[in-house]
Amino acid sequence: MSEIEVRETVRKLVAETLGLAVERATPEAKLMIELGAESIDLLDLRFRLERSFGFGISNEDLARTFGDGVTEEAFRAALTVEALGSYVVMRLEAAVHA
Amino acid sequence: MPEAGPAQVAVIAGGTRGIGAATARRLAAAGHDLVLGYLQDQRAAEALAEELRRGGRQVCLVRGNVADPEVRARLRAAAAGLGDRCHRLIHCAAVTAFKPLVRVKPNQWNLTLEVSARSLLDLVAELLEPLALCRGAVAAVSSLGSSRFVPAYGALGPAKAALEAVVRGLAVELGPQGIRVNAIRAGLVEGDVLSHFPAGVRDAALARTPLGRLGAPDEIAAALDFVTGPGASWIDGQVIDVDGGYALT
Repeated sequence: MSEIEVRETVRKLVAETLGLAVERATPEAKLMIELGAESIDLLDLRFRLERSFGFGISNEDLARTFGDGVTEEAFRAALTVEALGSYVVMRLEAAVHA
Repeated sequence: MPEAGPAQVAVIAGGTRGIGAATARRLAAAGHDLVLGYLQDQRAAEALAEELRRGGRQVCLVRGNVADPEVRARLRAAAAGLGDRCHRLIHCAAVTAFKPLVRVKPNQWNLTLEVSARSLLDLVAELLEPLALCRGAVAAVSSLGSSRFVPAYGALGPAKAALEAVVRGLAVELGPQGIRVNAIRAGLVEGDVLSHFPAGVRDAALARTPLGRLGAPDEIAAALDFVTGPGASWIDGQVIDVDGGYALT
């Protein structure tokens, strides 16, 4: 799967999880602030990403990506569709090089 | 004193925090080796496993969503590594969106029901062989939300009602194999979950509870230990209130 396909799959999973038209899941859209994602939706999305891409996502992984000790507010602002896509791309690349 | 011979094996879904961790400690102290499923906090899970290993027990950790077939297969594989036996299966896994029921979205309903209710059925099916081999016992953690209104409980009340119905169904279907299935219907317990409820829920629960206090995780663990143990050998398909008397008022 190419990087573009990975990012498109992430977009579709975001939209599917939140019950939105895929057009609303633009790269810059903030999941929690603009798309209405709640904590349980992020958990749901995490499970869907794990199933789709075949790797596990732990709190520790997310902390490394978004910064250990990051505030709730900063996390909400940083969590865009694009940032999530970049995280998945990074994890897939890490798996290839492992 | 633990019996001589191979240790008994317990599998706990949601076994590294709160009630699940308290149950793990109790069963480990009674000589069980453990398979502990957990979802999020790897550091806490590893710390608990290390604590129990220092006490001489074998402990296998399995991270992931228990509603996922691949995760359940890993729980089964971990039990296989302990002799493919399962004397006790304890289900403590639950998720919810803490919000009014009328605002629960379809994906939130589905995830809550999958993790908090259906996964019991699927996990029993996955572990049926080692459970039958040991004439094992199953216990699920339910809550007062199964039969009463709990504010901001999301879809967890309906999920707990489904969980209790699954317990009754499995008890009848698996009884002929010597497998008992019960639920503990827990009242409000001290711990992290309290912070998710609206202000006033704690005080209202205290005012209604004849014993005048909230429960401790270990008090639910004690009931789970009992109901899956030899002292409960004639108890099957029951939902037992462990709530300081709250359900009576």
